[in-house]
Amino acid sequence: MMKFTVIIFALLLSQNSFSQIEHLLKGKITDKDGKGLPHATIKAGEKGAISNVNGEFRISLTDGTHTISVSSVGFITQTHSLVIPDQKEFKVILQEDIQKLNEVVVSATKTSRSIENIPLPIEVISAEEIEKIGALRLDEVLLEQVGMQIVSDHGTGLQIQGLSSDYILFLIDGEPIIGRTAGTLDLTRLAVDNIERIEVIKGPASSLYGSEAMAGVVNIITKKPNEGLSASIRARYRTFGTSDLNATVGYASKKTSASIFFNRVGSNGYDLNEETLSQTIPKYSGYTVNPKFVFKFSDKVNLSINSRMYSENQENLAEVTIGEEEVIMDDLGKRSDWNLMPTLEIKLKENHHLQLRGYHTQYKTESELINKEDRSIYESSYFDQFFNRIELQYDWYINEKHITTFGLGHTNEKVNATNYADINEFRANYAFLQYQWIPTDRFNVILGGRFDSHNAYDSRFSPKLAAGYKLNNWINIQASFGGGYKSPDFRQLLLNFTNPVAGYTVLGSTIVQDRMEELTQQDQIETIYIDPKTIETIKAESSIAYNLGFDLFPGKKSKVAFNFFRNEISNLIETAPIARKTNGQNVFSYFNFDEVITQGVDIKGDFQLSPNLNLSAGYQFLDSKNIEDINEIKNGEVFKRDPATNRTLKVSLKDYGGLVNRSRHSGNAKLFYINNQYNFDIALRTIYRGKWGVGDSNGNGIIDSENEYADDYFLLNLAVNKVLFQKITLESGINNILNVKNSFVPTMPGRIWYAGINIKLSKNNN
Amino acid sequence: MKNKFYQIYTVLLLSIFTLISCDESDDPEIIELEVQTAEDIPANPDGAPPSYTFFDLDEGIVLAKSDSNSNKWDLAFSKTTILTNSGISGPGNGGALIVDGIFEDLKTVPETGFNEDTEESLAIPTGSGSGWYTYTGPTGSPAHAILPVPGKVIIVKTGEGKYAKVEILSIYEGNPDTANAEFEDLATRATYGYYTFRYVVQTEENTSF
Repeated sequence: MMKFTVIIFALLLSQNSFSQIEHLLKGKITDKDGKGLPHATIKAGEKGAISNVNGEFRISLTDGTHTISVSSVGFITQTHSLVIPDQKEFKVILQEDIQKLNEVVVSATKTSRSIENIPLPIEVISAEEIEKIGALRLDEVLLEQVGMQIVSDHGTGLQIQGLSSDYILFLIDGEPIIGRTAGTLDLTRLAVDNIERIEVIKGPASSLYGSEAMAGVVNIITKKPNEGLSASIRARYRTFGTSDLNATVGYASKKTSASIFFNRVGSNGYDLNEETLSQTIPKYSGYTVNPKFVFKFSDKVNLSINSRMYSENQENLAEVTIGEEEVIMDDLGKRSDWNLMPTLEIKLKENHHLQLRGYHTQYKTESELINKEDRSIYESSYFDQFFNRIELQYDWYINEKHITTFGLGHTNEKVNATNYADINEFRANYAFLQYQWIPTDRFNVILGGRFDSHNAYDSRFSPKLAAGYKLNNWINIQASFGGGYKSPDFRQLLLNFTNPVAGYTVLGSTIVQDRMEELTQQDQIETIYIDPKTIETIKAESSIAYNLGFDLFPGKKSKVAFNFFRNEISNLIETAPIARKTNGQNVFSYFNFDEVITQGVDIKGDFQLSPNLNLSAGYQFLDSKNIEDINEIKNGEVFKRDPATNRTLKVSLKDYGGLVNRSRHSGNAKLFYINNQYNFDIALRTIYRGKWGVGDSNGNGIIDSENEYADDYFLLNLAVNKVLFQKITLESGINNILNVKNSFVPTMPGRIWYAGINIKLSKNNN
Repeated sequence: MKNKFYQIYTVLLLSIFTLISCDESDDPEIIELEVQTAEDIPANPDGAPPSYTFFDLDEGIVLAKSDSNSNKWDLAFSKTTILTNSGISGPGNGGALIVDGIFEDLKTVPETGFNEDTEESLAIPTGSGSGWYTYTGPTGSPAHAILPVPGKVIIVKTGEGKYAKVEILSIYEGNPDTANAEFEDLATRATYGYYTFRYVVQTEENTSF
């Protein structure tokens, strides 16, 4: 009976399979440098396959001659004729399509994807650009990008789409950088000479990254060593006694690679305000060490270990009033961070990719005020933060049309600091899922979401939906919708700080009741404005955002991109006074109250004027507003004074200047020229920042009068690099040629000259 | 051209309507009360021990110290502290209440909310941001300045129990423009401790302003 069934079954199938024996064809698709191209599409008539992360693919084909086409975004499609079963292995080297950007990015989807296939606003800054402009630290690179603003507020921070540093997640090789002061992550902590590229996603990415990725994500991808032995050394000297030294040594073979990067930066700093004793930028020196190690156990298992260590010392002077006396103090600061990130990558099967990532990092600051006369310590404080994470990510390339990514993770975070009640700990678990659907060459969709559960505040779900459509040869349209959030940080929950000079007190949301009780018992409270018992623990700040982009390719050598954005943020955390102390100063705590909107458009144009000359120009229009302020103005509840008579007038909507530190207009233009005959290049850049509100001066709490703005400015930067003997580059330049100064920009001390040398050596194994 | 004509025409029409409607709503019984301005009333500018200047709103004059124990005075000034003739400060029936709004727009006296001067707090509270002024501090623009909060109108109950509305314009001599460089610079800033304010006092016949 059994036999019979098998025969029947075989007969039924014979039409299809028995007459057409299939053979397996293995292949690999690479670029001209031999690097495997993932997600390339292989088509043979009805059949198809997609290459894996190493560019490898398998396809079963019937005997006979087949026409196979191989395509990948950013590369020219190739067609080959193959005879099966004669051909068993097949290698294809695809040539780059010059017309299209072929940059591969990882940050947008946590998988390597061509930038052309990502329907999100994303900027990629290359190592080449960073090198050409002679930048020392990350702020100098980001300053020259469209829609990114450098804002000085407790450090040198970034602003994207009108949202401040608090709401931007900074990553090194995909792992978060910790250590913020009042929300600002100081970009001067980051050296740039070991950067391969910087990927900036604008708009919320909490669906993959969770908290903080509300305005965007800046992912710094560090350099990997080239095959063989390589070494480089780069030294630069600048105005204000600023020196910068970089050294890299690397080795890579097919199986292992190891490299170490070293940087020392130092400066005498400078003083822009003669009236104060302390320098605007103190004397400092900082050291960065970045070792990297990769070991391939087999084709399927790969282990990499990255680490970073940074240590910085600052020396300044401070004048402190003790009683009636002005005492001069040494103001000393130290900060350091280090991290360790082991990653294990496993290819379970073809198209199944597993990553296990561990991450441990610590950020530490210490500061001391020491009496210059008797060397006694007047004040000392420290801040010590730990962050640990373990994450499992599983990518499944189902076929050329469907890719899924799934991840699970656990984080724990601790802080121990002078102004915090105890050692405090946060624990969180999360899971994310993402589905990329590419039904046709013209259309692609990303759908994703992430769920975070936390020990200190409510669970949260962050969704994301993005779609891109190629309307025709010269128009791409991208639209995305996403949710972002930022959980309250340690400071907002647990700070217990009394300013030793001014005497005001700031209390975190979770300790405010207990501390107020203590202060009341100590008779320090005069009047209570808000009963501490009614103060609720603050909720996470959250946003929803919309982005709509158009990429236009008006000619073969030019691209113009528009991205319209709107971010609606609710539950914004701000401080508010809750009581007055007997010393006349207020006690503050944190509250969720405001609703804020930032919206506008980023426009960027790239024009290859000639093979040697590239021009790019960008502009951002930004409208930012606090809904509560707008409503109060509409209701006639906001007042100002007529400067001539000092009489009260009502503020009208047209006087409203939006949120502080936001420029309505900003932009830049860059000209890059390469001379191949004499081996030199020139980078000339101009940056414009329109006027921005700095703070209220007429008592109504909003920006509405002319003297509440900082003046707009133009910067002009020039860099000239000359290559000698192929290995040595002499570099020189002037930043801020026009010698512009602005009292609200401490990072702009006027004209800066620099010169340096860059030597690259390499020895290939082959 | 045609468009412009229509615009002008519309504006004219609207203005006429507005004028007519204004006429209709005006209450003919109300006699306009005069807005007075008190200029450079010294408020202990020399920083000597607490020394108050006693002011009579009805008469618009500074009173002698000897009148401090009468109900003649309505407000007394020393630096940022303003006393009312009530509670611990004086024998009168005074008091005060701070309301938000435009001086001219305030027509009626609130029925409740008046405070007297007590040990714990004054009817016109002191402290930056608690009452009628803010102190800009070292980082403000201008720095270290006492500026009246715009939109704060003080309703004063006078020593004799009448009502007045007061808007403090400045605590610097000569009611200077506080947005210019001269004021910004501490060396050239006008002298601190001189009040300029405008006010309206109700008469027997009028209970609105």
